[in-house]
Amino acid sequence: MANTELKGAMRCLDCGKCTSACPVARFNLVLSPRRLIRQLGCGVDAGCGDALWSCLTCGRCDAVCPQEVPITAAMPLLRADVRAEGGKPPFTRCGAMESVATIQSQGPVPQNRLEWLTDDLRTDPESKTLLFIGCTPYFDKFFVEHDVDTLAAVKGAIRILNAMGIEPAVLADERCCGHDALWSGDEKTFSDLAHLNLEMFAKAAPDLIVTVCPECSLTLGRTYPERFEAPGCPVKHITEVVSEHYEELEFTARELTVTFQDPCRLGRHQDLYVEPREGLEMIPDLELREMPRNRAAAVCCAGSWLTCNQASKKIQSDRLAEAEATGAELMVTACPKCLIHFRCSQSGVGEEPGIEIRDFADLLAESLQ
Amino acid sequence: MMDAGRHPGIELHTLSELTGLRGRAGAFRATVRKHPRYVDPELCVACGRCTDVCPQVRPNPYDIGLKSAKAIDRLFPQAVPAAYHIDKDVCLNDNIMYCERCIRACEPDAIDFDQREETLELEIGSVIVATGFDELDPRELLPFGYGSSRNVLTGLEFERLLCATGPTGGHVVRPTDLKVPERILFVQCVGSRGEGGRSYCSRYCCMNSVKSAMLAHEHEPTLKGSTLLFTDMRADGRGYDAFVERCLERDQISTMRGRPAKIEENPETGDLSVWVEDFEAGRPTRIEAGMVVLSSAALPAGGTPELGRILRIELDESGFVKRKCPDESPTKTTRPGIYVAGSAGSPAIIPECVAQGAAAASAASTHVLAERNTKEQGEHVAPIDSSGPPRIGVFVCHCGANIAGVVNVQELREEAAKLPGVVYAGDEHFACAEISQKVIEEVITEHKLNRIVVAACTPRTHEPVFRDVLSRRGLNPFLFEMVNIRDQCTWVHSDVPDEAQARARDQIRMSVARAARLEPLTPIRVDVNRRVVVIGGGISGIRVALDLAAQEFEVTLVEVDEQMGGVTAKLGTAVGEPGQALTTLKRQLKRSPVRVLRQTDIARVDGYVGNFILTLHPGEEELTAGAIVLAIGAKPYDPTGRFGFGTKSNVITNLDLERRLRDESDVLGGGEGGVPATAVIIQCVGSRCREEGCNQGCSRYCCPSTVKQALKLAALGTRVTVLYRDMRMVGPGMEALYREARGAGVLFVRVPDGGQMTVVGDTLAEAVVADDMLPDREIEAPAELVILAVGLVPDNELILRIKELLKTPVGPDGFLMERHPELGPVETVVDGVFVCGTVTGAKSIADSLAEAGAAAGKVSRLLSRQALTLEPTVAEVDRLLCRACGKCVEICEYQAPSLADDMFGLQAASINKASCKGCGTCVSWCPTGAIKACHFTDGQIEAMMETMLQWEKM
Repeated sequence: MANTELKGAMRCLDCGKCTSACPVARFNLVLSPRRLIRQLGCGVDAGCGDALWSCLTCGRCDAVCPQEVPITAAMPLLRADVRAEGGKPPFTRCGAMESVATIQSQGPVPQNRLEWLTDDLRTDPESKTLLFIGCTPYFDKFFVEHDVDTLAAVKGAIRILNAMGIEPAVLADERCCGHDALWSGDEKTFSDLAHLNLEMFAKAAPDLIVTVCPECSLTLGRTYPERFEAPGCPVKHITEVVSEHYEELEFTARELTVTFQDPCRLGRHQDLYVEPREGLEMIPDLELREMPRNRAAAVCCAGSWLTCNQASKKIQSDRLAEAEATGAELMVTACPKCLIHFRCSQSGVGEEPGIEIRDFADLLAESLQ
Repeated sequence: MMDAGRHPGIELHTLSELTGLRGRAGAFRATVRKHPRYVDPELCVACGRCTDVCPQVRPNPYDIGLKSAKAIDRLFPQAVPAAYHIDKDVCLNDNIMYCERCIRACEPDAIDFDQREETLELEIGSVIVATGFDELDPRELLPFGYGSSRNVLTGLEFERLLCATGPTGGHVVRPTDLKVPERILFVQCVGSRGEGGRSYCSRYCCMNSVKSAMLAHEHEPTLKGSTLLFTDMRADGRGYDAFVERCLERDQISTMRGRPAKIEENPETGDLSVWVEDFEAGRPTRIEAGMVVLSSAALPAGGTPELGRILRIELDESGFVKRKCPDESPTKTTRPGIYVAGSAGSPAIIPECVAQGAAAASAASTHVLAERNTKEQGEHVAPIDSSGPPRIGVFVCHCGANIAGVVNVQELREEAAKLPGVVYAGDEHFACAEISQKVIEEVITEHKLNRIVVAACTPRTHEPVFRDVLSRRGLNPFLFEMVNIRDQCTWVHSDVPDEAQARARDQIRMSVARAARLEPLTPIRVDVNRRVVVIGGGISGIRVALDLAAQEFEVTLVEVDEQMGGVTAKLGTAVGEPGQALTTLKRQLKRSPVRVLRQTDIARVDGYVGNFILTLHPGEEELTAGAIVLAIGAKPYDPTGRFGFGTKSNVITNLDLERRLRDESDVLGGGEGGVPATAVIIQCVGSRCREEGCNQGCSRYCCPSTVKQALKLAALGTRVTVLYRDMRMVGPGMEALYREARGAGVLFVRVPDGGQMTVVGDTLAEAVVADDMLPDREIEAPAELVILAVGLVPDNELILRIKELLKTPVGPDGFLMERHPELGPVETVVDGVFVCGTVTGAKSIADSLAEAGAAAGKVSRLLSRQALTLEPTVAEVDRLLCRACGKCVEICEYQAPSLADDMFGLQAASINKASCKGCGTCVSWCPTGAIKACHFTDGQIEAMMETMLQWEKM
């Protein structure tokens, strides 16, 4: 347990605001962020098993904590401790998604990452703008049952960049950014993946890395520089790029009512609340209706590969109901994981197909003039 | 407010703002922009006709918009000045078609739309910033639902609901349906203590919420319950803990630790769901409430940054006016000649504000010594002859709803008019309001009244106000009688209004009978000795002595110990940096003209205000003084026998630790040097405890001192555990320090009230086993050193001796009684005897120093007069009836009577009018009836009793 983290935990005033704000604690009997942090502060073995894995690290607790206790940041460290002692997360889908990352971390991997790339999507290996694709090609193959098209976001991002006059570079042998490994306490896989990616970045020497997944932009843009002082160039989520280049983009008017789901990694972890909204409002006639819980108070998609149970389902269905209550035709998000988890929630036995969910980049690209 | 309004030395500029300040301390030139009132306050009689005819309605800002006002209005009845005021933004008179309804309605022609903004240049010696605080608008804290859920109110809004003159007449009803809610939830720390980027504690809210909850239940018997959600209960004033306990004794009021993350409204019912963690289950739980009251943070008053720029003073990191040296002189700002008082400097509670106000006034007056007291005398009015048959005027006060809400004031007035001697009877909404005073004055002249009876509230606060009214018309002020039909009748008998009516009627009848027999009295004038004796050489004593010396009074400081500095010296650096501050103060003391007598005690005190004689011991020297300041402090609690103190050598007090921390060589105390690897600090040892020898309340200094000691130990590498009940870190920078200590790895464990704390170990302490309230478990904290944070307790022996010497009363908690905890914190009931510091209850250094400054101000106000005017309501001896038995000399507590021979060798008693309190004990004791209590003569009292009994016959 890193000492600085521990000290941060000791700032806790025991006010319980984190627990009362925690979306998981409301439905899950074992998680009390306050108790977890408190026990940590007392030097008591967290012994928290299920509680530890059920946390979504969505950062809702950090947002309300009056004492600036880094509650979320303590999770990967605690998890690493438990794993070091032989503990194992109750991975969903038998740990398949974890295996994908682990396999990628072990040297050369034969992978066909770019088969979806069509001619109308213009890329240029020499470009100084690198588009980081992330795990989307894997997701689309894996979650066929939910009929997800997370690659649509990547394709959309390329079209948007093309419209701005940029033909981005894409890497054929890109690896998972390591986000999930890191947050589940698997330090080794994370740093192996990071080094493989950083080697490729060093060769490509981009001026800018763009991602469609906020987990990638968080990991590449914040965690890599903290740990490895690399890649040394700015890393931006596509929502940032769009809002910065609004003058270069023209959109067709669409009479469409949408609501926006703030992904936790984009909003609370990277403070990008305004950019996606600015982006959406660039589409003429589009009406954005906010859900009551938005921005820093937004509820996360409740998905993680670490744990999935009836609490996750309840959080998701409540959130979808909240989105539908706005009267919007479409729920827009800016994270492939939000898309997958909500889609999963909508495809349960006896579920009505609910509100349509689309990715930000996908929707914007479709609306380009 | 009223006192300030009528003080001849105070010039009020309302609707005015400071726009510039030039010059330096002692010779400032201030530019003041005075906004037009559009009503001439000299002409306005506040009849209210203008308001009646005004067509424009606006929210009343005094009632925070919960009630309406007109464009021309007086926002609340006690407003000073009482004149009405026009809000130009709402008024219709700027239209092309003039409205002018108010102009037509105003008989005295007081309305003047031609008034323009004025700029005034004031020559002043110093400036006091007392701009108070603003309440945070909790709309910025979205999850609390304020602004979107109508039944979520702020603390101040709720306060208005509780107020008899407020929008609901004192009824606690919900804005949505005007019904009494079933349950009210009070949420503490809304926007404070880490919320919304504000690190500090807002100070006023804990006690305010407790009091509001209590009042809500008193006002609304159908209210089923109240819950207070809090983090630490900061009841750290004298008697505050006892008040909270009393409040919680009510079954309906409960408390719960925690802060909610959000409040949801049921749009149909307006009911609210508050999500908060249930600490036992470790899960969020939902509390349903009909109304939620948010204790909103105290913010620096709007405009403080601009004021700071104009005055060229610095602000602190929270935006309040920076106190330059809080541990030396808490009212100083960063610029000489400019002082700060109250919440403008940091959120403060009323006693602190009052003390700081007086301290700032005292400090400010050092810049204008030459002008002192030149304006105290009011204008002289030719006396009216009051002889002849009594012509009595009776005024019955509504006191808003305080009186009129229970009894029928009209009926009382009509009945009073029929009483013998009464030539006029009237009723007033607030008899004390400036405008009502004017009415009384007019009536005195018009009806040639020579006796006045006011049936209202307590003479303790309001008798002087009405006596002044009489004086202003040349009527002897002792021809006034006040009937307390509020405290003694409508407040205590509010549940039986019929009987209250009968009682109020009787009280008025009796007082009218007495009034008819009142005699004019002439105030006693005595000379004033300008010397001051300060008893006690702690930090407060030194401060008050220095302040008085700076005001050119001759001061003697008497300290019984060999060393100066009191408890502060023993705590050194642990309480702020006062160790250093104390050194500075001691150095200043050495350079000052203050005469310091160490190892000296007071053996005897004779005399009276303005003329005391103190006999010293040893030496029997006699000191004369006009005033005495008691700064005798409190003493640390002796924990012998508790937690193994006295038997286990590694259980020590925080004072012991302070000594060891000073050189850091042998913190462990084993003689071999070294720092303990682990230490446990136990809080509240001898505080918040009803056992013999303990402080019943909070000792206040220990939380900050413990946090500082814990930080020091942690810096030396010790793992520190603090066992506490509530961490009461109040005052500038304290909350940040607390966070720093937690951040540095100090483990704070909250032990429930009555929870166990046991020191384990055979010969030495090895660990402390305690109940940890929040994870709800028992912990065993290892301890190579156990430190007891001992409370401050009254030094009973010393205090009883002082009580013997000076007749200053002692409170049930063993500390000396101040005259009034909020209105007179540094005065005592004995004229000329003042108190400051911990002698009236444990307090922080900053508060002790503010009180010292305040005491200096009060002494200076007393002694800068040429002569003192004393109440003539004292006892008098009729020599012809006295047989010199000496019984009066024996019985008097104040040594006022004495026996003396006259020129014929006849002995008789005489009473020193300056020493006499007029208590009347000697009168009842005198076997021959030679003694008369002026203003309470047998004749006057008998008349009252006869009237009371006669009624039955009539």
